Amino acid sequence: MMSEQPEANAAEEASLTITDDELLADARRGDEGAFHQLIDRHADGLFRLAFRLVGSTVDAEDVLQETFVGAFEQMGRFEGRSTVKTWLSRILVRQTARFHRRRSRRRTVALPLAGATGDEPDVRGRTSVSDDANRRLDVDRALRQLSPEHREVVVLREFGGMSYSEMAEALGIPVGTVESRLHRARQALKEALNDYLP
Amino acid sequence: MAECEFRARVMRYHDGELAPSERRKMAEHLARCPDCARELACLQALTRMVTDLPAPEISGAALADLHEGVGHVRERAITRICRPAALAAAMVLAVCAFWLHQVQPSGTAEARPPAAWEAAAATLDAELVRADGGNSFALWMVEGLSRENGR
Repeated sequence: MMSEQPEANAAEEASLTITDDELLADARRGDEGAFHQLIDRHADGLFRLAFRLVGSTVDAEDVLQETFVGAFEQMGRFEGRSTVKTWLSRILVRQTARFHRRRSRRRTVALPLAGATGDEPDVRGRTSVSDDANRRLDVDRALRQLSPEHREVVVLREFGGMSYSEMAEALGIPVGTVESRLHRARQALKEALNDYLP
Repeated sequence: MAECEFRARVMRYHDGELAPSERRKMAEHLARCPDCARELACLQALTRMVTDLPAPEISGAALADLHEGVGHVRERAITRICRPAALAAAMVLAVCAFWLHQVQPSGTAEARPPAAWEAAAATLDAELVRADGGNSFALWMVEGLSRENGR
């Protein structure tokens, strides 16, 4: 009984030392467990990206579901030219674009404000509307009011921590376009949040 | 007033996109150009504000749904492969059954009259065959088959 815990820890450690590429290779050979490990590794990070791209937890969950299903179906075509994270992000961006197209067919409205949908992430300990909370609401609003293309680059850069070339790979556009979109998106954010900037 | 020539590279500096040598040059420039330094401070503040937004975490139920969803895809994929295979196998079986029903052992579809030895065998008394150890029946068979083969 005493030896079970160290064994479990060793197994956990071993699973952490396996790279994403190795897991994907195992999954492609039919090891479904390897793909589930990839889900566990990337679900949280991708969920945050999805939430910032689509604006609600429910929609983010749907987009993420479609992302992993798409990844499972397409993993045979992964050529290893990018990291697994970038590849998954690319699928997520595509699914998000689909989501926006579907939604724009139904109705044409800007992303709802987080507070208005009850989807605002929990700001714990907030008993009154503080300056910080006000600022967060304004930042959230400014982000949601960006065009989908501009929001994509800001979200991938700031929340995904991606380089320009990774974003170009994920979005399927040239690096120069990434840079110009990011510049314009930040200009729009600067204008919207001017009061908070030095 | 003309814009500083380094201004366009401030964002790349902020995002860590400059090569080390360019980065060093930019750092030196920032120390003496207030406009570029202000632009950099602005970008840094913007990044802080955006990344400071509360980050939601995926719920346990949603994570379980992700795992389950992938499991369903696998099942669907197996079904997708197996269904046509099963259909093809069923069709082959049906064709074979039809062919076996139609085609006679000689390989022609037309029914042929029974050979003499077959007719004889049908009328044989089982007791008689048993009595001579089946020798007469074997003889009739050989004679009948020889006649069929033109011997």
